Amino acid sequence: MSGKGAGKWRQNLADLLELPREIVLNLPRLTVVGNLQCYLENHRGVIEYSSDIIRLSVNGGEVIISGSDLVIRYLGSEEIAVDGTISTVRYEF
Amino acid sequence: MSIPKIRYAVTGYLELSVEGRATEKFINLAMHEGIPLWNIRHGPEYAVLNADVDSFFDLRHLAKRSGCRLRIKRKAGLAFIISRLFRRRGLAAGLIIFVATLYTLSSFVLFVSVEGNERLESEHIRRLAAEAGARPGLPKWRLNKDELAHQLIIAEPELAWVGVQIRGTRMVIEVKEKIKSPVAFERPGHLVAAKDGLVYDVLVISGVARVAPGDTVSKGQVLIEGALRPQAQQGDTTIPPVVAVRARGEVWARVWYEGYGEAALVETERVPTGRYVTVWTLLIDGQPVLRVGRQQTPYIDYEQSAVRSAIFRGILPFPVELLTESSYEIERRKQSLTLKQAHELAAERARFLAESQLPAGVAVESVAVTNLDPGRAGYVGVRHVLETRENIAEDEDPGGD
Repeated sequence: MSGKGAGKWRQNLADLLELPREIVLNLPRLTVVGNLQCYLENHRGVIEYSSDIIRLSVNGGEVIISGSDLVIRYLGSEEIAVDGTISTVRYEF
Repeated sequence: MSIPKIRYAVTGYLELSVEGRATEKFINLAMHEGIPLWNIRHGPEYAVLNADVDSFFDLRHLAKRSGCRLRIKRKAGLAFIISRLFRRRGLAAGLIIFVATLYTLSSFVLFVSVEGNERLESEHIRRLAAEAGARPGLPKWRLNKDELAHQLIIAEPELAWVGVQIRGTRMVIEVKEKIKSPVAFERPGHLVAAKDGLVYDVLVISGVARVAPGDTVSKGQVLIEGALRPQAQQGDTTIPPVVAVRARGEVWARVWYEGYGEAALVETERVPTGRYVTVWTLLIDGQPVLRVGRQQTPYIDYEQSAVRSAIFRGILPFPVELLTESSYEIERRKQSLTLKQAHELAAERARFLAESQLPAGVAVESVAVTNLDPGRAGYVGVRHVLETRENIAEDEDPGGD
């Protein structure tokens, strides 16, 4: 309950100061270039990956990218880039 | 997001295969350790990923922890190529030697061919070229085409024009022979003196000698008159008409060539200091387009040289040239000379002046060197006189075509 209250407080602060929310609320930031590339900042790791589906852990849930010929172009401690033919990008919170 | 691929292409990277059930765990561990991975693909049995060389040992450690098997599939990058080449030193050396040999051999003139000659033997022209220094085996950079063409024209008077081309390793000497006009020979005319001299021998083939041994002649004076005056017959009162002929013969004379040189006891020498500035100008169709370098010469005293070289010749339809202007700093250095040194210097200058007047192929009979007083304080003067014996007779109207 307190966590949720803190979240609300932070969101209000972010609104007030017009700060980027992904930084204040520690949320993932997802950039999708057409259906070719998907770029995710602020992730928590790889849960599952194959050439058809990549599940990435993020703060409070996961992001599921499905498609075909998926390749993790780059994997760093903060960011991940996925290439391939992307059909869906889905959040599960 | 982009990993410095170019950097890894130089330092080298590994393509690894990870076998096991928990490859995700391995990847997450690597991620947390801050090891950058890229091109992660999931195959049917194993995952393939790329990682840089330095983190391989850490990765092996992580693989053990996550229960995966790590294998190197491929080593890529410049570092590995170099080390592989280093292991196969013979091959690398052979490759370098091959390229170097090819380059070296192609930078020499290996064949000389002559084109355009009709009367002159190719072998003769080739021999003349060889005398001028252009023989097979000559490095191309040592060949001065204009100089060679010039020397060939001087060496062979039958040639009207010579062009030198380099085609690969073949040097092509293109020649054009002179077309003689046969009429000029038969035209009447005198023989005149080509230069001043003291006549010591006259040989008349046709015409009438106007000078005798011992005469001093000046340039342009008629030596052998191109006229025949038939003797009047006994008892004939009329004077037969003069027949104009082409004068022929030889008039040998002693000819002097004089050179005078001076030297100051305190000589000012212009010595390059070795410092220079260069300005490069790109000329397109004769118009300066781009100028690189210092605009003003920072030296008080300098000498300039300018070289124009055409670039992209034959590629672009308009001429593109690179103009390189260099200014070399000059330092004036005063040098005191002893009287003997000054005389030597003056004599050297006089000798140079005298010898530069000497026509080719004429032997010097005697040399006279006299010291003179130039009438200026602090200077010495030397006169250098060369004496030769030459045939000074010349057609009045040379090159009558």
